[in-house]
Amino acid sequence: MIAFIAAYAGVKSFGKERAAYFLAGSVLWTSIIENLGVVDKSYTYYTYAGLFNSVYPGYLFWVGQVPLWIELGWVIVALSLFVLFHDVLLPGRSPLLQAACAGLFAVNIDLVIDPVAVANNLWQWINPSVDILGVPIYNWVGWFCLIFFYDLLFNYTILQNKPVAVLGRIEGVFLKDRYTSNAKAARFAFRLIVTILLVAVLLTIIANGLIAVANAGGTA
Amino acid sequence: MEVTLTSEQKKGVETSIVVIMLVLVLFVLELLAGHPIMHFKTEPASVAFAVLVYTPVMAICFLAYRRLR
Repeated sequence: MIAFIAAYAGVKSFGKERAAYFLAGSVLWTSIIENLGVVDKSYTYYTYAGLFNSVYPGYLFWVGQVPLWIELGWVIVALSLFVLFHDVLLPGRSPLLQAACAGLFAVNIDLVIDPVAVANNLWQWINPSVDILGVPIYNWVGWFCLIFFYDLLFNYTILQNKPVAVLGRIEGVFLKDRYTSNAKAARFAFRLIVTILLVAVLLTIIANGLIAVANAGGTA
Repeated sequence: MEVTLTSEQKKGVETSIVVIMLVLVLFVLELLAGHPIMHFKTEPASVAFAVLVYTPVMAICFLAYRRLR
């Protein structure tokens, strides 16, 4: 229900088309990253499996190995923070600053969400790592990265329709008319895939580093 | 800093603030709920930690709301 209210906020702030891009992109973005986290055995969402009967998976609606409400939760946080920092708190400021502030604020919100969720077994962290209140530190690095990079991705690709220097040559190979409005969806999808790969590699390195530290010196 | 928004955009921002507050209220309820499934380990340190992390969220939402007015 809150996700629908967030979608309404998106439509009012960006208009229907841009809000649709934000919602679809956000669900895809978090579905892939979250599923990678589950496949990598960092955490599991099957904590309530078998609660009512032996075949009950724990939640009703799933996207791969991740309950749908997790993706919708990400939409709520990402969209609300985007609107707050871009429209009201830091309008006209550097996109990097806006994205970084949104990322830090998301971490702040998750400092409440994650310990409560873990204590209630909404999900469970598997690998021993360097923890705060039972939650691995790389979780919060992940929250920052997901909000920060998605903020930049949406801002540059959908709102500003800008070229990104580092991607320019690669996009030139795959997308012929990459900066016309017709190519917006293709360009958004392409940049989404590139950013997902970048974030997945980055988070894997950080998570494995912290897991190695915990295993070397005992669980923190 | 001057904020110039259309009335539709203002509705969007106000709704975003409401959404963030709803998320926080939801997790406060889970924090305080007595049901075994929803029970959080309410040691003093955890409660103090919760207060510390709630304060910036409330402050940012309040600041955003004031700039709209």
